[in-house]
Amino acid sequence: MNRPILLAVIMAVLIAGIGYASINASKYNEVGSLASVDSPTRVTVRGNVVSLGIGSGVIVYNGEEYRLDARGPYGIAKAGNGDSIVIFLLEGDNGFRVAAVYPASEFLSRYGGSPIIDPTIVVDGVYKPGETISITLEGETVQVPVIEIYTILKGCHSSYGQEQATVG
Amino acid sequence: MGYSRDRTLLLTLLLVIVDVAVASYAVLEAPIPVRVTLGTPMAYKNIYIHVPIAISTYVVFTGALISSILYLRRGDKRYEALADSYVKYGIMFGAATLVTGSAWASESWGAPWNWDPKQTAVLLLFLSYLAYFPLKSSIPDPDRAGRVGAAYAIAAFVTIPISFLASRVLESLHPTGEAIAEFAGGGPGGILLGMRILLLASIAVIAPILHARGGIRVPRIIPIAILLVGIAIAGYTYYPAVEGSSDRVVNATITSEGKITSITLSSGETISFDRPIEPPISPPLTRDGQSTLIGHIVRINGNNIEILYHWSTPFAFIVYAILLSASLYLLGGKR
Repeated sequence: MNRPILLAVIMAVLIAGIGYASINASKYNEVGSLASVDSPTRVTVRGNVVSLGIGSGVIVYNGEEYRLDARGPYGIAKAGNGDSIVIFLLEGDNGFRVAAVYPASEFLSRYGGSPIIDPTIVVDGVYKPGETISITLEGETVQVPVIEIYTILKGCHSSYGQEQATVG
Repeated sequence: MGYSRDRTLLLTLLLVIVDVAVASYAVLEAPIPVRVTLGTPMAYKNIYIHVPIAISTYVVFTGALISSILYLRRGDKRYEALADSYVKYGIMFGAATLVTGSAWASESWGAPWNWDPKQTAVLLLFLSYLAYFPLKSSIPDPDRAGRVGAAYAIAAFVTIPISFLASRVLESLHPTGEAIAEFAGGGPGGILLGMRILLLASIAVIAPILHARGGIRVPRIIPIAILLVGIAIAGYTYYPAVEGSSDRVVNATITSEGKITSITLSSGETISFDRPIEPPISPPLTRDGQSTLIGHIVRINGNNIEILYHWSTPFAFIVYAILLSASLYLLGGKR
């Protein structure tokens, strides 16, 4: 093998190594990894969206009771004091569950009223293992820790399979 | 040789003019998905700008790979010049891919930069090739610089399959090629997208060849005209958004005839119209019976609903116009 080719191979291996490491580092952690986190932490995690069903229920969050309007993959909860949040129940591959909450006004201004929700979503926010949210739906109550969402980082995969529309 | 060069230049200019026309038509008239996961569906006009630039970036760097292999095998300096030229164009196309993709991501993924595996891989690709010229110029002996540069261009190509595979192997916000193909196969948007990819990729293959040969005189008026078209299209599409206040549609009530009776905005305001009005989008309803206006940024003047562009599309069009103008301008740069 002549020297430039050998040099190319060595450099390619080197660049591939850097590429592998950097892409692996940018892999999203999944919700299950939060099970071992025991203090408030800024996280970007991927979770499987658990359906809340369609109907109404109650959640208790920060000592406040909210009426929950469950819309399948997410719910909109309204408190008596006018506060309104959107809630997702996310599950990790190991079955660990968290509730991801997001101010409803921000959610509606970014998503409109009936967004498509992919089966998995990525959220960026603060995980608060010490805080729990209680969700009661169809007589069943679950208590899960909370992620306060800053941004929902959405994949756009589902958008491409839609029919096409023209404007004007 | 001169005659052949003139013909190649004419062909390039023809491709550029047709591509600008198709890109302009796509931004103004091409279809978008009826519903999207996040943000306004109008941001998906970026499909017709960002995707062809991204694919052309891969094509240009493949040109650099082939030229570098040929240089190492045959030792002909013309192949070294060709590899230089492909890397130069590739860096421009790569930069355009990154900025147009980030602008689109700001609306459709929730943030412009997410360290998503695909974004990280494309950044790595760009940075790898960015090191090509400093590396070559750091070696005083021109022959040695040529050989090391060629070896480096071959090595840097490894970032192409890495970036191609990043959204397949790992969970990524970025769609795979199959998702884009699914959109392309779903209606007239696919024909426009296919045309744009073919046209821009052809320009991306030919322009570096002409640049490497040098001495091509492109009338200055052509890059300037392309830039002006870019500014005009971007201004025309974005001007309504800066003209006054706008809001996002949360819901709309549609009659069985497909007309709109009321609309709810993200501000919480619900506007009822005096009489049912024609929707500014076709079809008015999705297959599951929801208004296709949901998610759009609109302005309402009396009984008129105007759908507005997201800034990322006019911005991407300007970037595309700059890219094409620079590509043509560079043709005369090596004499």
